[in-house]
Amino acid sequence: MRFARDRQRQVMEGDFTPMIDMAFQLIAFFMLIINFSAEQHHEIELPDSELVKPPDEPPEFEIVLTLGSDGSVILGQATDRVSQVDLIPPFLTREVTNAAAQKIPANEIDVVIRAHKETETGLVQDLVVKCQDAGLQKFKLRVKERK
Amino acid sequence: MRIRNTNRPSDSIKLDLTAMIDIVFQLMVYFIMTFKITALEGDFNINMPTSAVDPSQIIDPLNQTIEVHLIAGADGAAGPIEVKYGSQTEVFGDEYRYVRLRDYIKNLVLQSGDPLAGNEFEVEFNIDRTLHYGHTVQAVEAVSGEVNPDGRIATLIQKIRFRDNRGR
Repeated sequence: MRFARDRQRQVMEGDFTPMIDMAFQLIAFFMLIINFSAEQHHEIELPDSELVKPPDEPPEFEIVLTLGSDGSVILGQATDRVSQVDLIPPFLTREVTNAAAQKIPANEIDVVIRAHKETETGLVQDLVVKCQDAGLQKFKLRVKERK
Repeated sequence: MRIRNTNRPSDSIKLDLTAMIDIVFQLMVYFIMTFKITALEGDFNINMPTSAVDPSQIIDPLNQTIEVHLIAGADGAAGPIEVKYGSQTEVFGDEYRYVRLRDYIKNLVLQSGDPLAGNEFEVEFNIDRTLHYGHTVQAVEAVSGEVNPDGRIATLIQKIRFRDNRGR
């Protein structure tokens, strides 16, 4: 005896809501932690230390100088690059003028020096002297935090 | 006469999410591929008043200056460390030179028994020009402090400056 089958065509539909929620959360996470720090762009390796901690609050005005092992200097985020330390003074003067426009004297500007760990210390000292000639006095040697 | 529409479509509207899911996954793959863990960064403060100022005004007469000479080896490698304090001179030349420098500084600071005694000292670094900067930072770290076994940082000397050794 043959039974007639009451076959119904069924479409299986998964519930994608949790997956989309997770995917959006992951995207939000990666967007928040994406790092546009200078090191990624400038190919320098900082020395490390277990004593340093990231600063609690951003400085009022800072000049970031990245010194490569070849003696080239990058001011800020790679907008100004010079091949040797001797060519940096005009850029420093410009920054000091910008700070003065905000009523910040040169001796209160933080100069952050990010130097490659195999750079000759003499080049770092030359850079410090050029900054001193521009009236800058507060220096910070930036290093990586070592756990 | 009321005409009942029996062919009314279902109330639920089904959206096609395929395109959105495609974009979402592409974004996710992009962020995962470009993700790079970077270490946090911090600073060592160096006090370097302008060279136009009279050097006698830079040095605080109340401070006791420890002179640390970092000698460079071949190709910028770390050489011996010569420490001068008063009439004493010590040379640390072995592989534990930075540990010995830290111990020396620690003994000086702790001798007085005052936990704030580090404020009375100042370190002047005289660094050979060819020495790799990484070794300079190691020496700065050694005089700045140490991490205690409980993870807390004990500061030693915070007043640090570099001697101007241009042309040497």
